[in-house]
Amino acid sequence: MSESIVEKQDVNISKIFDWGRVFEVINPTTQEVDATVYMKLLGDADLGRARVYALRKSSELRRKLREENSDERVAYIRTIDELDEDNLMNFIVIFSGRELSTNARQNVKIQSPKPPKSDAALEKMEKFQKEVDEYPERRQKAIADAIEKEVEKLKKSLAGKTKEELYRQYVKLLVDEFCEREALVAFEDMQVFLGCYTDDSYKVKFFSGFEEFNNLEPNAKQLFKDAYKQVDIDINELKKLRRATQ
Amino acid sequence: MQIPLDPRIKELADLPYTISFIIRKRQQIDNLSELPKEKKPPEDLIWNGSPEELEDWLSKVFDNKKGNNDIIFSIDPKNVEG
Repeated sequence: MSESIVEKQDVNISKIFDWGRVFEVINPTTQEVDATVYMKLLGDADLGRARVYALRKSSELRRKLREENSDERVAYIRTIDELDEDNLMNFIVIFSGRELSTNARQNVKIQSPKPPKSDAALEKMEKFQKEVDEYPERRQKAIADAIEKEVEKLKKSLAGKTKEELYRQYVKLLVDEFCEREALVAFEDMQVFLGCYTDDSYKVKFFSGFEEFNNLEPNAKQLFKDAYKQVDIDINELKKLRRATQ
Repeated sequence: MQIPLDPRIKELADLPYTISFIIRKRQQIDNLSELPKEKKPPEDLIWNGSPEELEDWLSKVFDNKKGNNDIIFSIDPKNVEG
């Protein structure tokens, strides 16, 4: 069972109502407000648009990275001659980290605290709360141990492979990694573009088109993204808001 | 749609995805709570499982291959009014 279940008592439901905010763009030289932006969390339809855009960008990058002589391939992926077996194995272990961690999280079974009856004695309730408080740490340790075992297992399986096999695996993992990052950045960019308005009723888009946002100077773009993150709720956190469903 | 959760939201399309997630989840939980206890998916599966995993669970507990308890209606379009 995941941490989200036992942490449910600590969640502030009111966060889901903070779905909009005012963001002032400050001119770094004059320290004056250059523009006022009304930011709002996207609805399902716009979120779908952002996802589609992210998938297209990721797919475009994947195609380029798979082309032997593309600029992206040459820039991001080393040739087989530049790496020895040890390098390859280390890269594979590093780039497999997320998958190993996911497997470990799925496989770790820790008995979650069982809530006492509603009319249970105070001492039993205290005990339950203590178990709830200690649960995340207990689970985290079990996950760390499981990841360590997964890494050892992977290293053993890699030891029997040829350099060509290791290189193919390295390229695949690296391409996946770059595409994942590309998709995430593209998704966030589109989210922010779609979530910015000039008015507090969220009717007029702040940017005239996506390119206007996309061509912002990187620091300015990051300020917009950071501001948007303040209204967003991570899916794992959202799942903790289950009291809103009860 | 006047959503009791937030009067500032006037149109369904303006509903932040977080709130629609909570509403959908609430509907799902209401539906699943209609199931007998032994067929109800575990809480962890409801919240953390993928839609496919949840569907697999429901198929398994209702044993779709054997459990043909559904009543099948056969309707002749000629008998439908309008």
